[in-house]
Amino acid sequence: MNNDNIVTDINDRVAEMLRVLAAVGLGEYSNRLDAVLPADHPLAALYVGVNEMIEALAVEQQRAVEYQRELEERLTTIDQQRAAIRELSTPIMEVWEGILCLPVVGIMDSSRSADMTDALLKSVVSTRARCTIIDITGIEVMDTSTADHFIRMAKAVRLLGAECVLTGINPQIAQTIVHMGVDMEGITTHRSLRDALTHFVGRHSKAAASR
Amino acid sequence: MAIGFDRRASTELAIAVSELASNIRKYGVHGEITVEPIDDPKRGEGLRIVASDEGPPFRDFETALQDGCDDRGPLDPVTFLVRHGIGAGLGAVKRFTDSITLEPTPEGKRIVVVRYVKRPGDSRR
Repeated sequence: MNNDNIVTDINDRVAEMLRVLAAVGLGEYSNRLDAVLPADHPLAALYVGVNEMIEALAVEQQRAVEYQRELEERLTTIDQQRAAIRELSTPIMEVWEGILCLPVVGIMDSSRSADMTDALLKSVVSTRARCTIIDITGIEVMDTSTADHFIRMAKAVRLLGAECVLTGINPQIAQTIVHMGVDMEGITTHRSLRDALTHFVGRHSKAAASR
Repeated sequence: MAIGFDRRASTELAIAVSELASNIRKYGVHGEITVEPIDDPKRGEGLRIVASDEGPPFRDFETALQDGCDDRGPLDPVTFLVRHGIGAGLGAVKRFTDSITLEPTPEGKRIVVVRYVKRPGDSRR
């Protein structure tokens, strides 16, 4: 080839490379440089190099897509597990007809108190409970604000038409509640869940018997 | 606890850490909590908890510390429901610890909380 032809050829090849590389820049990794250049062509090595580079990028991109998918699956699992844990930490059981029991164990922080209120009030409505027994034997300490919220929760239950009983209050928490000076009007307490159940089931039977 | 906190103090500290962690999860974007023992020449042994996150800074830390408020002011009932919170987390942290400070960091902010085994007026409890 004479010089003009060589220059034109090189210009054409470079233009072809730029087209393919532009596509790669847009995330399109399937293009390759098609022409197979003779070994003595000045751009032969570059052609091969560019194709290999695109190939490598395509592989990496595939890996990234798979990794992303795996990550999203794991995040979904974590979300599901978190929801399950939240449910487990607020087990609301109907232990007798119309009587809900909520045993609370562990660390009571403000978030848990908020979640619990949510779950409990919904349950009272959906089960048409007459009475809820909240057992806090398993709670050692509550911050004053959390205890305040707790008592408000109990009062909210009353507003929904059910009785609310607290059981298992320990001396620590008793002091916290008294210290807050909150009005405990309408909130019954018993020493244990068993006492509370005995009291309520007994009352219910008497009422049924006297009809 | 190995440092010498009794069961009640340990539970209170656990609640403090739980509150700080909840806040990071709810508002902090991404963060971490470190807990380390300290020994102060004057106050004795204690625990330092650092909760750092990459979230936006507090508009008003003092207000945020008050119960029923976040950093903007008192919470309204709708916010309670949406955020699963009663605006009392930091108040609890403050009550359960001896000192609470807010420090800005390059990534976001951090809250440093310290509690000593021996607290003034302990003999009253």
